[in-house]
Parts: sequence; structure tokens; C-alpha cells
Amino acid sequence: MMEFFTELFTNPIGVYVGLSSGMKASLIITTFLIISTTIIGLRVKRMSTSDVPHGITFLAVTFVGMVNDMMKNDFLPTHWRKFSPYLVSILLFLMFANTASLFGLTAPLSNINIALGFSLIAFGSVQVAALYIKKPIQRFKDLADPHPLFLPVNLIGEMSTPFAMGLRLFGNLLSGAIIGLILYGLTSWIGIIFGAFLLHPIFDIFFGLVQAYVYFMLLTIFISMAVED
Amino acid sequence: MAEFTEFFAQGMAFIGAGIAVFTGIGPGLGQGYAAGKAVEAIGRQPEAASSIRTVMITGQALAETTGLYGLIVAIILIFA
Repeated sequence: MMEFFTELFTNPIGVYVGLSSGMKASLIITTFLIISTTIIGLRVKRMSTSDVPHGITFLAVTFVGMVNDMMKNDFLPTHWRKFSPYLVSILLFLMFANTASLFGLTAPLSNINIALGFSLIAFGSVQVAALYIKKPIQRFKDLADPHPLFLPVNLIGEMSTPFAMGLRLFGNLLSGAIIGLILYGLTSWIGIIFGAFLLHPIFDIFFGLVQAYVYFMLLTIFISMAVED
Repeated sequence: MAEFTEFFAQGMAFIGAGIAVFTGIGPGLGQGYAAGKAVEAIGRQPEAASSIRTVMITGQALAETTGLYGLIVAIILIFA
């Protein structure tokens, strides 16, 4: 562990080159999102209330407003202001990451380390949110809900659902990547036509966006189950 | 003899991978049932078609999970 950090600070480019392709794509997408969301945020902040946003700013404002409305009306009526920035950023990252193969990158979630990292993110955020909003005593009472004997079952449930969420992302993206490898490996130019009209629209755009939405939805539901009464 | 057991184990792993992919039956049945029910619901209430479609696709993506577990097991058996 220590050697990795000394290497990271002395030779960052070498560390980057040594990473696997999914990790590289994840870093590229994260950097792109940090820069672009900062620019859009500054642009929105500079606007006065009478201005009409247009272009990419309009898209961003509509997207954030849509997620905020969904949180406010359906899932987190009292605590939506705390969680919706976090959930929007998870959804944005997943939307860009799952369609990354269209831009010539490897889909980051087809690397199991990143997928299990998403499991850890889901687990940690649900637990921290529950401990922070419901105080630890009330949280413990929730875990031992029908009877204290159910405590181990509830604990296993707390751990297995985030694990399943990460594995679901991994399985979807990996199956798309494997089918793409088979198609492009076994066929010549005709594979490009199949890939352009069948493979990438179905496996990258449709399944990728649906899985991003499903992960976001499940994370919202688990947070709201842990937080709201 | 050692070679024989090695190849035997590998062949058994491949057979196991083939069996593991049979999990695809379950999600296939489930997704088809969900789609059929969604068609019935749209036939009954055509004005709610867009929200029915959204709920159906979310539910189907959830039902796909068990099939994906089988796929992951098969991939682990083949490559690991």
C-alpha cells in the first residue's frame, strides 16, 4: 500500500500507464465530469433569475430539476436536499461510464474492482446516512425490527443487497463487452455493420442507460428505506 | 495420470459453465411474463403507456439479475 502511494507521488504517469483499461477509462470520465460540471455550475451560478438558460446549461438545469422533483415527490420528501446532489452525481457517472465504449474507452464497470467499488459506495452511503439521520440507537432498533432474533438476517440483508447491485452492473457490462469481443473477433468488415446497428445501440446505449437508472433507483430506494420513517 | 486429472478438471469446469448458463431460463420466463402483463395493462389503459413502459423495463432489469449471476459463475469457471 505504502509503495503504491510513494510511486503515485513520484511517478504519476507511470502509475497511470500501468493501470488496467477500465481503471483508465474511469479516471478519464471522472476528470471530464469534474471539469465539465464545474464549468456548468459556475455558468448557472452567474445567471440572474430572469435569464433563460440555453444549450448545455439548459440540459443540466432540466436534468437536475427532474431528479430533484422525483426525490421530493416520491422517495425522500424530508431529506431530499441532502441526498439529491450525491445521487445525481452517481447517475451522471454511471450514464457516462456505461456508454464509454462509444468513445473508444473500455466500459469501467466491466472491471470487477470498479463494480465492487460501487457496491462499497452503496453500502457505505446507506449506513452513514442511516447513522447520521437516525441516531445509532434508533438505527439499532430498526435493524432488530420485528424481534431481536432477526438481527443477523437483517445484517446479512444490509450487506447482500449492495453486493448484488454491484454484481448486476458488472454482469451487464461484462456480457456486452464479451459479445462485442466475439463479434469483432470472429467477423471481418461485416461485423462493423452489425456492431454499429445492433451491438452498440442495444448493449451500450440501451442496457447501459437502463442499468445506470436501475442502480440509481435502487440506491434511492435503499437510502429512503433507511432514512425515512 | 496428473495430466489426465488436469484435463478432466478443466472439462468438468466447462460442463459446469454450460450448466450454469441454464439460469437464463428463469429471467426469460420472468421478463416475458412482465412484458405480457405490461401489454395487457397498456391494452386496458393506453393513456398510461409511457409510465407502464418505464416500470416494466425497470422491473425486467431487476429480474435479469439471477441470470447474470449464472453468467458470472460460468465466466469464472471458464477463465479462472
